[in-house]
Amino acid sequence: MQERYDLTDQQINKDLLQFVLVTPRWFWLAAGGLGIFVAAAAFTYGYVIFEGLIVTGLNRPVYWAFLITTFVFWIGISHAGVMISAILHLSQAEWRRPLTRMAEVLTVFSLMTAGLMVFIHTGRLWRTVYWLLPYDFDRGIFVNVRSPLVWDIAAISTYLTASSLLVFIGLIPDMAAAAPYAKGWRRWLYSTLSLGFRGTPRQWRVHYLGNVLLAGLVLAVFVSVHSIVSWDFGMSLVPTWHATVFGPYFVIGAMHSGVAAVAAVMAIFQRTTGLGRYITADHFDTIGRLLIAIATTWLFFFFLEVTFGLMPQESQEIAVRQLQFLTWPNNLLAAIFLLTAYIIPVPLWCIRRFRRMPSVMLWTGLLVQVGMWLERFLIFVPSLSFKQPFTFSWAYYTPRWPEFVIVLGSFFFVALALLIFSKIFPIVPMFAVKEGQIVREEIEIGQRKVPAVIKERG
Amino acid sequence: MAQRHVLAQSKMEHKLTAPEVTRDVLDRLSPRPQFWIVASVLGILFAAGAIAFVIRLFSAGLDHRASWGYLAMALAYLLATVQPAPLVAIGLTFTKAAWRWPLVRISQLFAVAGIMSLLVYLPLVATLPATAGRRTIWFDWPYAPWLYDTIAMLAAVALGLAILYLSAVPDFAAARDHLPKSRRNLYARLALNWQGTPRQWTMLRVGSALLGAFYMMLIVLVHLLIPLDFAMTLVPGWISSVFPAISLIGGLQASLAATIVAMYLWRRWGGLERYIHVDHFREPSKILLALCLLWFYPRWADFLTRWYGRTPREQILLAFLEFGPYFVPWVLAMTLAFVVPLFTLIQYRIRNSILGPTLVSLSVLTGNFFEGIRFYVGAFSVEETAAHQLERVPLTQLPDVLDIFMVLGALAGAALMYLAATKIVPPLAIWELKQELLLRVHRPFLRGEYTVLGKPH
Repeated sequence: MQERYDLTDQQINKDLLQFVLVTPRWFWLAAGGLGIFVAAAAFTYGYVIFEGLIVTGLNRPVYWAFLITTFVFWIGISHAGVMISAILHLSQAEWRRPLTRMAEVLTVFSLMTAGLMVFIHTGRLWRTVYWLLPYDFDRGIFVNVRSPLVWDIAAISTYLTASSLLVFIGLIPDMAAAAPYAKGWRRWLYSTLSLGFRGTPRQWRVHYLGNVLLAGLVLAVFVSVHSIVSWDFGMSLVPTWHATVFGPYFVIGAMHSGVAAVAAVMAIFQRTTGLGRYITADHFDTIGRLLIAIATTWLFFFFLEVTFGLMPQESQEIAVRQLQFLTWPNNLLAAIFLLTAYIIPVPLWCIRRFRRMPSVMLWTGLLVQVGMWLERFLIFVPSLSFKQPFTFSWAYYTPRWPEFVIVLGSFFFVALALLIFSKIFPIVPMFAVKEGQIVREEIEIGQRKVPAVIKERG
Repeated sequence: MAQRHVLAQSKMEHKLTAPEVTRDVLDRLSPRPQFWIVASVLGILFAAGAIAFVIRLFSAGLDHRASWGYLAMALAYLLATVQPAPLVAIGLTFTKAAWRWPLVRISQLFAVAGIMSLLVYLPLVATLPATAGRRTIWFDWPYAPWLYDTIAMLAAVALGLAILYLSAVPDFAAARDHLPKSRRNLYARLALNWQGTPRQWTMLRVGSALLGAFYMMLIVLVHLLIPLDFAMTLVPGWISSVFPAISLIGGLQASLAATIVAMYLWRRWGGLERYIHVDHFREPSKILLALCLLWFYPRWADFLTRWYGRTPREQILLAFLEFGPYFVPWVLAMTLAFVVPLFTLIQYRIRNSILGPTLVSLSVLTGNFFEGIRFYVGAFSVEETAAHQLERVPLTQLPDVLDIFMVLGALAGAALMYLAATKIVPPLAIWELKQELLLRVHRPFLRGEYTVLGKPH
């Protein structure tokens, strides 16, 4: 990191607690605006419950469409947390320090939203109990544990638990540091959440160990979650879905959308909450370079998925591919998907000047989200449209307004949740930034001073 | 104990100076008696392999593909272990890993051994059937697969050598300036009038980065084309979109393991113990552990998808690749390339040693060897390549004496080329080691010391 600021502990506390303790006027406007959209989505869902899924565009043979696409999309975003937090933590990447918490929190909220999408998708959510729990012991009727849908529940709930713990463990020292600055209910909340943390060497050791162990363990869950989600599709014999590459392809796609989302969230928080000294151009530069690698790997897997799909030259597979990429309006969607997921953002990230600009990272990060949502849509819907071998059972899917409102509502929900979290808790981990100040050094080479860091033990 | 060792080693680093490094590393260019012994043994094995190849060529001809299965496996093994090895250097340089210095040249030198993979490839490409009537990714392109595979192979070998050469230019200049007159002429030519001007350094940095990026893409391409044309598409009904990733990750894992083994050999018998320390084994072994997990993941995805699909095409493939004639190589590969590294490298004590990562690397290399048998020997034993699916599971193809000598010869040839190259190219990048001397500083702290790493970029 070349862009360095010398900051004292007091300054760090003051800067990072500024937005938490002092509420600017725009916060109420933003929270109110987002809240209205979330409420609209909630009312729409109420309408869907009341009327049934008949009010959506779901119909035979396409029963998985907008809502399942959005479920997979949010599961993908949730991979940001582990990618940024766990992997960079284990690899001791110095630049991770200010970014870990926003990535972890984004993980938790996107996982919650993904879970919500599944329940909304079922129409009448109380029925999901029949799929998840053994409901008739007398007759020995149990859920089918061989179904990837059941694996989903196990994987996602484990991931949510582990990610929430990762956020919580990271918060403990900050809560202890923030408590003296707070008053009223905040002071009580921070004191309670700090769990009596005093910063003794033993407490730091336990904290460090807890962080490292959770980061390591969550890595396995990280890969399994999206693999299992991909196998919801890949284990079936639906044309274009039954591909061996689906697991890795989904995981790398998730990392692509997740890390791009973190870049966008970084830019938003940097601009709105005055974190310019903590989230610097260097951070955008590094995350931009990481994104080039991830996006290009994702493109490679996309190429494998499409090429190997065509390789057997089977008529049904070719028909699905035509519907996916060449038939109106999917051809337009496919063009937008490729442009926004790779062709526009990656060349911009390749130019150092652009990837150091928060505004560029914000807009390209958002573009990637558009592209990756469309990618999932184009994987699921065309395949289901031509699922059966007989052409008379083929049908197209057209979404209706409740799906649009609910899907948009999910985005506003995550934004609102992030905003509220950042209002209650510091979004940049104060202890990690302070630690970063301690390990910073300089060495002299000739007459020049070169930035340096103290090497952590392997 | 380990702490004391690290401390002692870092104190030893203090004593090194730039002229000392230059003198010491250049000294390794002169062959010692044991070099000639090893080179002779390797040469004999290589010659035996060449003779076995000629006998096989005249006895079986190139039309009988099953006779060439083990040589195809040797090609795949070389492609996995030596061809991606320069990527270890490229990856570590791109990520600016602070411990990369001694690894860089040791892994780049494998590019020379890549010439052997080209030599093995050339006769084998003639055994491939035409793509017409078969399910391949070529979709009836003219001269496919022979022309495009050959271009990719040639480009990969040439680019690997170019990366090695470019990186070695400053060291050739050092050799020109320090070695006796008898060798000076050679190095003066190789050094291309290198004077170390700022412009030359910029060109070196930019050139290395560009070549590195191209090489990465090329290795991905080679690991897409060769496994498909030499294995997957020879077996009717075997369509696995994750197979190129399986091959690539296997290549990265095996090449890192080969680099670790080479480092051990250099440290133990090459006189480089002052430069190669325990952290140069500990840090890559973390990456090796990650790669072992990655090695397993696409294989698991591949297996599970076929297992769940249960179509007749997939069932016969399961019988062929996993539970049938190649069951033993499959279990051995899984054990040696995944289970053993996982349960050993997960322990800090093993990672933080010199012998531990080396033995695990040997296990990984052996596991990949058996994986090659499963895929390539199996694929070459299939006679009917144009069918819609595999009609019957072929029998296990066991190696005969000629196969054993051909495989040994190919591996010995690669090792011999590596060894020969180290007598021309310094085994460590002198200029990078000097850079490390500037950027790594040890500062006292109470009774010990801590290390500070400069981050100029």
